[in-house]
Amino acid sequence: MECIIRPAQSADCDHLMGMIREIAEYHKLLDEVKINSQVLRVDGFGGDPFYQCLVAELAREQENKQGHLMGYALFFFGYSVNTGRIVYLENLYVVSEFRGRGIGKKLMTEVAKVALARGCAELKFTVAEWNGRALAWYRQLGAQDKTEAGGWHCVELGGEALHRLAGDGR
Amino acid sequence: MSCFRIRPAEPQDCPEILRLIKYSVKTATIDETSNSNLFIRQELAAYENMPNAVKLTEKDLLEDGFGEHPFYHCLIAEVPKEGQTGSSCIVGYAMYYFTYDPWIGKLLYLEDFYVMEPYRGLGIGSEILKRLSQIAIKTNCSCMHFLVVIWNKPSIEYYVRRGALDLSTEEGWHLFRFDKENLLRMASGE
Repeated sequence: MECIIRPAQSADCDHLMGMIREIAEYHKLLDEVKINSQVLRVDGFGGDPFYQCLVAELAREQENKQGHLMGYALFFFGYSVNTGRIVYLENLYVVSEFRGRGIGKKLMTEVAKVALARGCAELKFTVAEWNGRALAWYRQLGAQDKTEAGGWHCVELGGEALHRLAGDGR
Repeated sequence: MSCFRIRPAEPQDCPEILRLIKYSVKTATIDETSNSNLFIRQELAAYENMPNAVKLTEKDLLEDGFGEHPFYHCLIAEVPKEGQTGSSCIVGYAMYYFTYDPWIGKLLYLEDFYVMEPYRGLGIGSEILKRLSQIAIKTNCSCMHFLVVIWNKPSIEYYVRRGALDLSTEEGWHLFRFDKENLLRMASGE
């Protein structure tokens, strides 16, 4: 089965949203998904994209399943005061029936190429500590756990706290 | 009487931003390694050679923050220079950028936030956080994310007091990193 990795297009957003919802459903957190494919389209393919996306697609030769997406990598550019330009990998997902065929690795390869081409010196991401399979996969690729090694914790100021800090009386 | 001004950074602020970044990273390095056997306090003087040393230059900051597609945004805190009307000096800053969560959309990510020690306790930090929150709300961000070293208790308390949630402790999220060497290896398809 031939797989090609290509940049996502506006037309992929319905399918992308489907895969995003698949992940949420698997975690039984579907009600935490607040956006839809229209928002995804505007935010990714409007004048000022807030994210980048690569998709893994079945190659054209497989005519009966042409255009079938098997996975995606959603990421964006950020900045580190230590090293400057970085990539933050938000999601890397391969549909379960297509796993074990090196698609995830192909997606990572392409993300790494994009990162380097843009002058980025680092790629960051978070993994849940209970996700043993993902932890093992990233570790064997050479990723360092900064939470374990350096005590770095991810912290969030949510909607309510933001409004309070903004001083808008809520 | 303390008076200060918070404003968006401008290209000519880059040398001062770099100065503050270096102070800030030095402090963060102490926090990160203070729990490690490897840290030797005398090496503060040789901090430039530490693994966490700042590799950024003024040119990087200029290109990356004030080009066509900025990688970051900055708020600056300045106070009037003593005895020099119309002149001011930069005493704090916050560096942020926008990130994306496929479940909730846009987020504001706070990369760094530093106020020089002599100027703390004047409300500069609170005012910067207020402005950041306003920016987040105006740009339709669901929340603000950032990283804190868990051993930096004053920092943790500062944020928790303001309603922050430690996602690593509460939900088990670990931050991972691929450095440049890894990226090169992955890009070659190894």
